Amino acid sequence: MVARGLLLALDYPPAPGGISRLLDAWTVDTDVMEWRVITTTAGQPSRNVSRTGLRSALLVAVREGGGWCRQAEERLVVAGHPYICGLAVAAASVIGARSGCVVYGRELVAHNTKARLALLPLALVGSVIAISDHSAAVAIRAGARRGRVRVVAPRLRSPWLASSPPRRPPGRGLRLVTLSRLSEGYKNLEMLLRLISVLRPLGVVDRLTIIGGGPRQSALRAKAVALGVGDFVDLPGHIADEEIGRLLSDCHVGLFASRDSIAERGFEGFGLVVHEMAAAGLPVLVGAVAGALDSGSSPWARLLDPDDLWTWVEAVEELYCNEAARLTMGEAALAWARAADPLDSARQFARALLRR
Amino acid sequence: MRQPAGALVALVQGRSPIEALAIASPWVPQSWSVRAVVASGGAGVVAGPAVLIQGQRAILGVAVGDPWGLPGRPLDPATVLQRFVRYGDQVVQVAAGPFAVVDFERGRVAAAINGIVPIFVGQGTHSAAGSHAEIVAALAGASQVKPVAPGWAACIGGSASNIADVPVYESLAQVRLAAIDEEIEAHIRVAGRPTHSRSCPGLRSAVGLRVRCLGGALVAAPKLASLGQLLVPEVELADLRARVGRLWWEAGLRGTQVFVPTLERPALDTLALAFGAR
Repeated sequence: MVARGLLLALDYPPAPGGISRLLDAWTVDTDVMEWRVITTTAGQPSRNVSRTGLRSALLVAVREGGGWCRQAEERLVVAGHPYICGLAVAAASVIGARSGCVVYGRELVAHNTKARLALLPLALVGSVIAISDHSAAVAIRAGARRGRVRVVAPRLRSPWLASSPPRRPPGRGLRLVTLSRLSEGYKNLEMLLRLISVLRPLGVVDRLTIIGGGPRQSALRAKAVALGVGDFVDLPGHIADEEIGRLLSDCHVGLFASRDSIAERGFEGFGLVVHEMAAAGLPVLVGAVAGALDSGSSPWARLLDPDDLWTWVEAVEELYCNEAARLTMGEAALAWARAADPLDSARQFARALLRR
Repeated sequence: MRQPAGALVALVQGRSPIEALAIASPWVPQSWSVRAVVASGGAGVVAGPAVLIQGQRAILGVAVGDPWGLPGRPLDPATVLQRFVRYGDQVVQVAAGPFAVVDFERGRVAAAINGIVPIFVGQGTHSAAGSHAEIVAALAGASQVKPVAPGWAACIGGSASNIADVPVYESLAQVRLAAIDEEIEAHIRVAGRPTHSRSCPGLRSAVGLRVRCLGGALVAAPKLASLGQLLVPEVELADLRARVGRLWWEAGLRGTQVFVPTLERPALDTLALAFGAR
């Protein structure tokens, strides 16, 4: 009989965001493991998904998941967020299962006492699944036992998949794009605005589109205006997947420039949007720090120092000057995206959890 | 390798190179080479060991490849001039360190966005712009000069235009000034092992700037955390830049370069996230 896993999740569909998407993809039933989900995200309940409040999550987990889990020889209770790893450890203890936890990155850096307390039980978790080498290192610093931490890099199917890399009309500058929450400074969007201010006057860049919503939107718009590129930077805010797919099909290079900011204690745990831009047939320039290092790979991604504006200027100029090379990178990105097997990624996740 | 240090430039409208040279010379150190050239509508005076003139353009000081503006990866001045030719005034964003560029044909001078090399404009009987306040004042026939904000280019006509200055401030809860200081210190440690500046005594302008020696150069890393206690931190930052400018000049007279990671782009862009009203 296959193993059974009970996922306790704060973020789960229909909640937006990378964690929700990742947990949804990783908890599909496979020949390795079957899943049931208890989540605090509001939505329609189903046979496999129970929805409840955080206070009653332990009770619901034991009552609705306990009997089902015990039918399998191998069983796990997995926290979909480190802040509820204590809940997973407690539920696993009651059910007679092993515990697990998925960790991402920034949430492992405790900004206050409440977060510090929530992370304390990480030391008791049986299997900690980190989404990048950097995330694994941060988890160990946060208290996870070194021997219990495994890295599974996500490889999901994007909501869109282009048929070919977008072509650039002769004589036109590159259209650059990035996808980002507009809440944190470490996303390094200021550096991208400066990149446009250097390259737009030369015609190398046509425009930059920053897809995503958040409280920094108006400040970023003001910064673009201050740099004289307000008319060439689009900030459409949060938009639906179909619209993102349409926008990406009109762009030529993807950018993901996040920093590892000591000042903000902010960094990327991974970079799912790097894969999403690859699935649009775009070469992607990626900031070579933290978890983003594991998200892009040669030949379709180039890793660059996110603090060094000059290296980004050079890289964009190279892609502008050599359209054939850009298209080749775009083809490689598409081939990589097409080869992504979501079931395989779910199996890897399950096997890593089960490994002793 | 120790880089040459010490440089000055001044542009003046409506004066001949010979006249400009005569007015500027009292402030030019005797050991420095000095040159007067024709500039747009007037003249330009450049002096000092850390100057490269190529055609109608010149670079002063030392540009480095490290985006945090630390010594160790100096850029060939010819490379910086190539970038100047390609990117125009935007060159001030694509290199770090204490440098400035001059275009005699257009009558413009611009310093790197760190503002380590100070730029002033003056308006009197004439108009002038340059890196030395007294020379600019004398050339302009003015009693006072105005400092030009970093990221702006100064024009021989006495005006200035924004190239890369972004005076938009935010207040992100997680960004702390003290932590920016920590980040700067982390980058200094990567660049080498700084020693205390007792080996470079006598620099009056170094007071309060936390100056250390690194690889034959001076690294100033004034604490940003103290700015957070002030009502108008932007004013304090401007004062900090003025003190750094004086230090750069004073150190240049002794043949030493000054690097200030605190004023480089990664730090400035992060600083702008912590500066807004809370």
